[in-house]
Amino acid sequence: MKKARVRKAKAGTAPPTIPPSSPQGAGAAGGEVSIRMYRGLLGDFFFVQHKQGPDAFKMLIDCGVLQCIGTAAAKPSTSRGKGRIVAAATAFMKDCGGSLDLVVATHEHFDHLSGFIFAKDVFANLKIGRVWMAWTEDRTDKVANGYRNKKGKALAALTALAQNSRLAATSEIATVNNLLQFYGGPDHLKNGVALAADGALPGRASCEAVLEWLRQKAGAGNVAFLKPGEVVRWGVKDGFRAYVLGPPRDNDKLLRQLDPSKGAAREVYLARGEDVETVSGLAAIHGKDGRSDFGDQPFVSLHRRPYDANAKPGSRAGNAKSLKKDPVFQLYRNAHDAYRRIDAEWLGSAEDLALKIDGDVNNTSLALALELSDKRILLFPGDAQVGNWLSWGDQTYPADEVKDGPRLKVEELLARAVFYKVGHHASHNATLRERGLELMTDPRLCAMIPVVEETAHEQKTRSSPNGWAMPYGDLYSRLNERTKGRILRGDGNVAAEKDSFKDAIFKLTYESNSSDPLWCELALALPS
Amino acid sequence: MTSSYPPPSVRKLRVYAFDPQTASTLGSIGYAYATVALPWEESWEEPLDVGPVNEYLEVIDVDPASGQFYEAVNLNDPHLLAQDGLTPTEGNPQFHQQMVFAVAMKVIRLFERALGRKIIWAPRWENRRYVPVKRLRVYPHALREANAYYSREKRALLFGYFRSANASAGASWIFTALSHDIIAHETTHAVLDGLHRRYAEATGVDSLAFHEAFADIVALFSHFTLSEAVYAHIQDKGGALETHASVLSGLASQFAAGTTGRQSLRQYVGSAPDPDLLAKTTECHDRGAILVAAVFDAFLTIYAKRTEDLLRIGGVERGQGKRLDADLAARLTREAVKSADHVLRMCIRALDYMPPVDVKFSEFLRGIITADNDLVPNDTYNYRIAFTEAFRRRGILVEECLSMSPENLLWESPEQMLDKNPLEIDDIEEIDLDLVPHYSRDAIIESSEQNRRKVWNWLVQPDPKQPKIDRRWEEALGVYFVMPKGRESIFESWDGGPAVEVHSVRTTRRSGPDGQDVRQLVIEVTQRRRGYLDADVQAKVDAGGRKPKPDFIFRGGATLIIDLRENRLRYIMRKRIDDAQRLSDQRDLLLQPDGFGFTYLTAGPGQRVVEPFAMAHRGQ
Repeated sequence: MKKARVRKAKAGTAPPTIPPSSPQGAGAAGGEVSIRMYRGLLGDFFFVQHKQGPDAFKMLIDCGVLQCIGTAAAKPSTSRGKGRIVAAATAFMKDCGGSLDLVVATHEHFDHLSGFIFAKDVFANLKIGRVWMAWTEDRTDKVANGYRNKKGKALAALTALAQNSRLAATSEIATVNNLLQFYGGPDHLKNGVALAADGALPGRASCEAVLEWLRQKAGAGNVAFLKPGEVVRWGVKDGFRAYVLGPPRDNDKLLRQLDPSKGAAREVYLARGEDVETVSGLAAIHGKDGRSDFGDQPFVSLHRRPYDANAKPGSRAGNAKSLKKDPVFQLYRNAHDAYRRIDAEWLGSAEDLALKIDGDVNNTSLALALELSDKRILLFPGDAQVGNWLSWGDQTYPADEVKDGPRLKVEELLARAVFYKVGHHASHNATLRERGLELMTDPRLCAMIPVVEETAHEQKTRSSPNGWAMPYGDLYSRLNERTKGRILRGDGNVAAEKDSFKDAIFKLTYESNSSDPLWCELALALPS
Repeated sequence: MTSSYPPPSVRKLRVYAFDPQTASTLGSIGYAYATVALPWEESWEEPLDVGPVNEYLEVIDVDPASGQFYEAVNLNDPHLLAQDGLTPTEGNPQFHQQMVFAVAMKVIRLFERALGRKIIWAPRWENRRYVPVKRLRVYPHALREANAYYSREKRALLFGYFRSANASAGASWIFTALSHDIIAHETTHAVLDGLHRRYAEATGVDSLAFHEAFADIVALFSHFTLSEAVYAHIQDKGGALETHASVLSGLASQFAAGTTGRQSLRQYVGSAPDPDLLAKTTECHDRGAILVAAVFDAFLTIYAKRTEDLLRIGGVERGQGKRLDADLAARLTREAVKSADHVLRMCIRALDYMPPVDVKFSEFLRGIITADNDLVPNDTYNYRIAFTEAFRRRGILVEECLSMSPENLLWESPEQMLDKNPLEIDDIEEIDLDLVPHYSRDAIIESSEQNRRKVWNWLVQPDPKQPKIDRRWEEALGVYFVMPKGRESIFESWDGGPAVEVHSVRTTRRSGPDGQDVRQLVIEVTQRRRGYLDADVQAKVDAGGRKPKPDFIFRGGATLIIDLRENRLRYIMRKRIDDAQRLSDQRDLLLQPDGFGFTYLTAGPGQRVVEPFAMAHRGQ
């Protein structure tokens, strides 16, 4: 099936009107658009420029790197990220001259925002013209505030559980801990939205504080909270359009209740209020460190008999004396049936909540289709997951500035994509198959993946002993097919990349001739 | 315990008839408690021990979320024997142990009676072979959340408890281990998994929904074994069962009140049949509810039919609300209890008359009709029409049959399927199957494993002189014994030929109402095939190309029913391994938003195990 579609695309839909890349460069009438990815980061840091004659438009899309909970010895690649992003930020400030026309913050995750924290001194004097964020970051929006409150409560409960060292050995809490890295861990999370008195970011700022800092830097009138279906303008003299694809506003609840076929999978924001309550309840007992006092017991003391799953056999600490000779207890501890024990099963609800919250925040990603003067599209979906991608078809997009003029379907936009910033470091769940990548039929498609595989593999838990699969094998091989190998990775091999981009419409350059340059860049000359 | 007295026939245990909420409501206090009478353990069974632990179950009351290991109840203590166990109470964990044990055992016995054989739990795959699991584990306080599930991984039932979010639940703590419906529901998942291991796989839109529906059917109809509650309802509503939603027709009322504030988790009275609803419903609990509603409709029809004359004799019109004569109400109650019992047994018996993989609701209906036809040829009360009618009105149609009349819904005999019956099984006697009825479950497990091997040898050994016969068997079973051209995605056995699994061999013995004695051998044969989300890849592998790691497993196979009285093959329920439509349907299902193939994820090791049988799904 897929083969046929590729062939069709080759034969039919390639618009022949667009001339191939020419070496005219920035001086040409149409100008040049370039996309720079800072390398060596498990995190997004993109510098997009439009140069036309003497004018330049400078845009930053996210600036972050994942940082680890755990020692540098256990996660050497992860721990290098911090130094790397400070170096990248320093170089970036020089190249952009300390001033930007537009900053896009896609969503509230550490791997997209932490650069502003780690390099806060570097960025202290940055000048920002405008800021784009998703509508979910608008603090005057009731729906957005509802999500934010729920998320805040959930993260507080998860943090409390993660800080109990007695639970740390369970695979459930290991997963929770790994996911809390997307907020910089408890040290950053606990600091909330507050900035320092002088408006600077505190040293261990939270992602929420970064967003607040960006809003203040730009000034109230220059912050746009974008909603799906809107068209906004960018580029020199606002010459280009950008289509806002997501995040969706979850306002079709009523519809969903009326029509069960629309089903649970249409839910974009999955964490339910009652899940948050459950985990908050667990955190109230097991939060923080040390032996929990279990104040909130279901049965009166007559029926209680203390039991501690962690107590060593033979040691009496934590276990009631009578347990030792109890035949039912012996049955439970029988080594042959160890797989049937349930000592950590109750933490499953915390693990599930952490996964849901993580997905929910990814789904608040501002997904943008940046259009060029010749209608080609650069796709920046943030870390949008299934629900966000699916919602792109919920609305149509104005094809031009004429009121009540023709509308575009998302399929038409994706068919025009020549560049795809691969979502969520090419994990398995942030690129749709039939309704995503397979719709990007332009044979000239290129992709960038902000990933360092070694870092991803360091995030090990018992249930995923190889760490995170980023890039995910099946997706990566399909991307390779679709782009004919024209993929740039944060940890890519420079020589191999150069080779695969020989016939690309983009011109590929690197920061330096080193084997691990700070950035790679794709430049595209535009027709006049 | 040796005793000079003869053993008692039953062991009685007190439980909440529904849940603690009914026991705290004035209107229902009269029937809020029930006494479960379990057959006293036979001499060949393990004696009941502290736990309770017996032949089938081991209740282990560990509560890691609260750091407790509650002391286990000793049901053999004279003080408890003398008063039918502990008094129902929420405040004593030992009563919780008693209640999960009693209700789960009740469900097990219900299945055994209807199926005519002992219940065996799903074996565990360990070191490349199946290891029997003797007892199902039961954890009454496993989780501190509004949830409960049968864990396939641990072969255990896990019950949760939680603080109520709503005052209407009438308690601050709610224990799922005290809800009759939740215990019955989860136990049924475990029993069904033991009978049909492959039904837990999401192979079609009906497969997981069927698991949910069946678990609800058992929970719902066991309400009608509580004659006090049925009597009160019939007296209250003037003999009608169908007009008012009540605790009888709803499920897990306290759980629902404590979580969502609603009257019940699912309510099976008051939803008018909508034949179009099924096609629009995909979520497994919702879809399952449609099947349960169909069975419940059939029950209501049967009850109405059985009581028409009684109401005429009593001179009352149904549902007038007039207080009934006590004798009449008692007779009506008996009819209701009997109807529910018949309906439930019809449903359970159908489980032997279903294909081994990828079940559909319509096949369940055919199973019900065929099984009932075998045991009760003379359908005096038109039960079978009540079923077909009810299913049709809920949009559950059997497309491959001529019409929805019961005689057309019977499974095809081999003669109908393959012209004349070319499948001789007279040589089945030569393979010396162990058909002696065993009583101890250990012996049953042992003997069925031996039979499984013998049948496998018998079935898979090619007959070099008559290859035609093998081809006919392949046709009949829908599996291949020789690797077919163009279907080379089938998994190979060690010798390179297609692997065939004899999934189970079991004997049953059932007695009908007119003294019929039905002795059958039920054999399930299955085969696996590599499935790929990309149809082009599938075609290449089938054509004999390189075989990459499959995206999913596609299964086919058949259930054979052999009449042991005359060694004749009665029915074949088949799902062909080479069914291109079914393969493409399964692929489409996986490409749905909640299937894993929707993104680029394929199933593999290291993936989180999501419990498929949870009351409330907390996973993705």
